[in-house]
Amino acid sequence: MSTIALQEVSRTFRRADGGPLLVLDRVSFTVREGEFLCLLGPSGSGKSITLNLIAGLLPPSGGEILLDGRPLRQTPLRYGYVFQQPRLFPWRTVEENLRFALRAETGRWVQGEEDRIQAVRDLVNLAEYRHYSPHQISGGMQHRVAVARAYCREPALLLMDEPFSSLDEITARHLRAELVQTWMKNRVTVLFVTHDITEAAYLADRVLLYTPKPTRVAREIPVGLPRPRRYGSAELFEVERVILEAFEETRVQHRGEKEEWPSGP
Amino acid sequence: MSRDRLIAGPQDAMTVSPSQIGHLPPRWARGSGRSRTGGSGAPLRRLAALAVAGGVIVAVWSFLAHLSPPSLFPSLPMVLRALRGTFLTGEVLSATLSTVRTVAIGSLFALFTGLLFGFLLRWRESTFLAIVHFFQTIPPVIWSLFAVIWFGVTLVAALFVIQVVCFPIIAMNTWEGLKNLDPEYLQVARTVNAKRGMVLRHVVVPSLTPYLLGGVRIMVGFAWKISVLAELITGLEGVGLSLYRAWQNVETPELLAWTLWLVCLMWATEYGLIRPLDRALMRWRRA
Repeated sequence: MSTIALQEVSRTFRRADGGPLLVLDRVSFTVREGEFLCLLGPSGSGKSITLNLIAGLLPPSGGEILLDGRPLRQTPLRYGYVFQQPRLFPWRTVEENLRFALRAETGRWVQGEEDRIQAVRDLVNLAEYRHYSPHQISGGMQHRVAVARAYCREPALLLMDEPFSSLDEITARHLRAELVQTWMKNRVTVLFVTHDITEAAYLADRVLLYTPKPTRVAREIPVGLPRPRRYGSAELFEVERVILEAFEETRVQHRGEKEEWPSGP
Repeated sequence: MSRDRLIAGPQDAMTVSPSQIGHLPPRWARGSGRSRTGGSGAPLRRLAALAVAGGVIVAVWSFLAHLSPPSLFPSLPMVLRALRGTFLTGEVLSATLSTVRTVAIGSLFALFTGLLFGFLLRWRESTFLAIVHFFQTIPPVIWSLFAVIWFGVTLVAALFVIQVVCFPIIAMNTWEGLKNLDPEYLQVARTVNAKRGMVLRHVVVPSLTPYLLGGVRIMVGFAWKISVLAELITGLEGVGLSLYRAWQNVETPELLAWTLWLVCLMWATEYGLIRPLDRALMRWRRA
């Protein structure tokens, strides 16, 4: 496991009219080893972009990302990525999808492959679905497979990009509880992006709050509750309240700076 | 519009509509089985529909045969008798085998070249599109004439014509498939640090399959027609040459018998080869 540090990381995109669009504005934070960190922010604030930068899918426009103190480019990071949609290959079975993740780098059989597949299968309760095609299993199941695919490579860091936001609330709760269980068995570092305050309060050790773009880190909110947490409990509500308050404060503060902010009634 | 259509060339009219091959890129939505098999409803109803279609053809045919002398338009029994006759001499079998061989070898070559050009098109569109267009715009008849000049009356001549006429079909379909590769799947491959061969095998090839099936379907249909044309012009043994002989000798029933046989062969490839292949390769799309 490892510590990831973002130092003054910026990312600019090109606007439709050709001008620059600053999304991340010198963002700095650290993901500590073994920590469950939630990245919370309004839509369009560059949460997914942050994950893409860490994953190396996108180069930063400025600043540096450090892995254990060394630039990320020099030390490749072994990470697992869970997208908003499961993105399983529809032409492969559940098990073949997992096997692809294991063999992708070498193209060959990997030492201990069967054990690792079985381990993640059991971890996310997939055992009986191994020979099914993605379209034959439910949306919740597909998300489990996506989580298993990220886990099976034994990553140092798990990047999760609103993985449960497309599910119904009941299924999402179920999967969140499973994720916490899984994570307590195997404490990998997690960076979890969400726009759902309850979700952040339920999952995180620490919540980082993003401002609207140009994005900076607005607040850092530690969540000291023991796990497993209970929806509807007074302690969780209190955490939610604190996050919501910070969220609203940030929104109001940044309203003036943003010319694009909709002027509602 | 163009994203949802498969360009199949050589002429604009030859495109496959998504419903024909049941594919709507770039998402692999769970479609119903209906549009894919192309049939409508129960087997009994399909049989009835076929019977009606056959009845219409027979009725129109009999009407025309009734109006004109046999040398111009022979009756259906006469044609069937002629077909039986050619079967008995063994000419049908040898001619068919010869044509099937030409079609099979020609299609395989065209598939290979087409795939190659599909990737080249993706790589350097403007350069290779001009080349493919060049081959597309020259009519098959002219290619056949040149084939005789260059290769004489040989199998190579027929293969050459099939090759130059059919490879653009596969090339355009491959190109279209490559353009529609889902970036989301490619991104998944990147997050697991997949090497090129693995991306090709597990993402690119499966994504291309529906496009290639569409291309192969049109290509094989073409290959039959081109093969007959090439045989007719080059005088290479096959169904085309037999057709030509019947025409020269003014044996109209035989001419029609050969034509009918050719239709049967094309049906046989569609139902005996293309559809089972589609079903086997695209099983993952079934809900």
